[in-house]
Amino acid sequence: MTTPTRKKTFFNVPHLKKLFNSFLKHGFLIAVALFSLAPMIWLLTIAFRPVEETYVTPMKLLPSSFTLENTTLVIEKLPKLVILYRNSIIITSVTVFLVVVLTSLAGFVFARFKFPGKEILFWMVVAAMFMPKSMMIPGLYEVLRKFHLLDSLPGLYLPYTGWFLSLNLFIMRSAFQGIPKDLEDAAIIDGASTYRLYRLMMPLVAPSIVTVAILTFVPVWGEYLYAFTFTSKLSAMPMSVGIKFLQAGPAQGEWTFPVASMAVIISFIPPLIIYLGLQRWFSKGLMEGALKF
Amino acid sequence: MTQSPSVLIEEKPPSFSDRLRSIPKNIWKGRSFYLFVLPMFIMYLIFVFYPFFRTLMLMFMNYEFLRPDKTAFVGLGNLIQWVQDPRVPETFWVSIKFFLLYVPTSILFALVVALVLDRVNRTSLATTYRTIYYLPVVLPASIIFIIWTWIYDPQWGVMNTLLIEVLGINWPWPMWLHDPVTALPSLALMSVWRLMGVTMILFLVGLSSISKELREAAKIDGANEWQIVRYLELPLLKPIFLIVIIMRLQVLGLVEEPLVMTEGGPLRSTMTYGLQAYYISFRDGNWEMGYGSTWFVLLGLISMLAAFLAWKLMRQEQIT
Repeated sequence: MTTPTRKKTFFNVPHLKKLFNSFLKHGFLIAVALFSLAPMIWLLTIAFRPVEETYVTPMKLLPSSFTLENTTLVIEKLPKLVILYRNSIIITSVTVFLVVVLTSLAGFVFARFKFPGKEILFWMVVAAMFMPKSMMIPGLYEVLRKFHLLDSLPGLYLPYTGWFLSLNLFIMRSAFQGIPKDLEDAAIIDGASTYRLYRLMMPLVAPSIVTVAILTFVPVWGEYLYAFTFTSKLSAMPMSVGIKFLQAGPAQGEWTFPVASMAVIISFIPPLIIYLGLQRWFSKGLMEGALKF
Repeated sequence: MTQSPSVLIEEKPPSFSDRLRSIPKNIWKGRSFYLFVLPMFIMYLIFVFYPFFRTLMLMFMNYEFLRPDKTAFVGLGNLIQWVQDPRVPETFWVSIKFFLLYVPTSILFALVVALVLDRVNRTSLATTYRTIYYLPVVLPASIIFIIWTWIYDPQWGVMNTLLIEVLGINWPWPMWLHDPVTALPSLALMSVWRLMGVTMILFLVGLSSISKELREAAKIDGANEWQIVRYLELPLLKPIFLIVIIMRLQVLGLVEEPLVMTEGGPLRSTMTYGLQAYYISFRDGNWEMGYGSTWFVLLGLISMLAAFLAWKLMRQEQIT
């Protein structure tokens, strides 16, 4: 029998097929989301599980009970962790501050004015973007040693600032180039100085400043190579390096596995706050900074 | 002060010598502008340009950090030693192997995710997915590496727990980072996980620039999903593929991942070119920073050459 109605088998019903399709798509996307989150979820289960349960091999996927005692243990070990955390905060915030100030000042004049040597100066700085960063290390080590900056906080935030100048200068110049000429003309007729004009334009490039801050903050907070090479003492070591020395197998030293996980989770808090808080700027900034990750 | 009208009428382009003569005047006129550039430029000179120059200089010197007395100018000696060093092809091959393991996998994975995500883009869940996928990128890299050494740990790690508890496989337990065969692929898997978000967003940007009308037209002509992907979307994504590959050429200089996770082992199976250069300069023997600089400078040359070739290729592709 070949009446049209008989042809409507289960999968031929249009909306059912559509439903099945979107079920497949979302199923796949949820699986990928779980894959992306899995390490963090696992870490959370470790941080809140009783220490004894981390000694069994193989460790169970989920603990039998959750405990908060590891949070207090982290607080007990606080002296070291606080220093690492403090160093990271100082290094990262000073770097972000310096990069924003320096590149916005320079980007502003590179975008709006003409003066001899402008192009050469600009491209000299931007070209450094294409150098592998490991290549700078031997020379940088010598510079820092000469200035007695090894094992100090400036010994990290100054090289980081230099490193992040190129990309962010490029971004800031494009931002200032995007401001209409009328504003500049009006300000100059009113007799505004160059610096006054800069102050006037700053609010207009605020989105790009956020982008620059994010593109600097994220890599510096987790930077390892420079920090590992240029620091060896706790006093100047940032968290990104220091945590490796807290690393522990079970019962090795004072850092048990759950306590180490707790310390790691603490280091995630600042980037998470910034990521979730400034989310709408991330995808915009990403295209500009994609080359850097 | 009145300007003569002729100046306003005939605007002859100034000759080269005129321009040359006016440079000092223009520099003086632009003096306030230089003040804006100066702080940044000083920073650049001290912490980028001079170290770069210094590394170049070290390349021609025998400079062992812990034995300063042996410092001497050796000309091309380091370069000759580099050419003859068997560790160069050995470690470079490790870097290339990593590139081959990591880049195609990550591109394929991110592409599939982006294609599916693009098809649910109108739902409110799409933003949530994107946020989650991009999350590993913003977390501190070095700490992610440490977490993954825990994950891969044969005894305590979750990888083997998953194999045993969920999949019920009791033997053999892979040793992950402790086995020369699986160590490098393990690093690649970690990188695929960590940076998938970046590649995916790039593909999403590419996909969003393909007009909906084009897709509708293809559908009306009877093309199925696979044909739309194969003959419409993939060809239009070509520039994005090239951008991603150029970006990923950076992994030829990979240092941090093996430094944190395996220290080059086991049996040098993860000793990448960059890591070997780092060890020569800062760990092995007397810290041969002179010879190490040679390794680094040539790495810089190779990666810049690769980026340049890829860029040329990209230009060529966009013309055709």
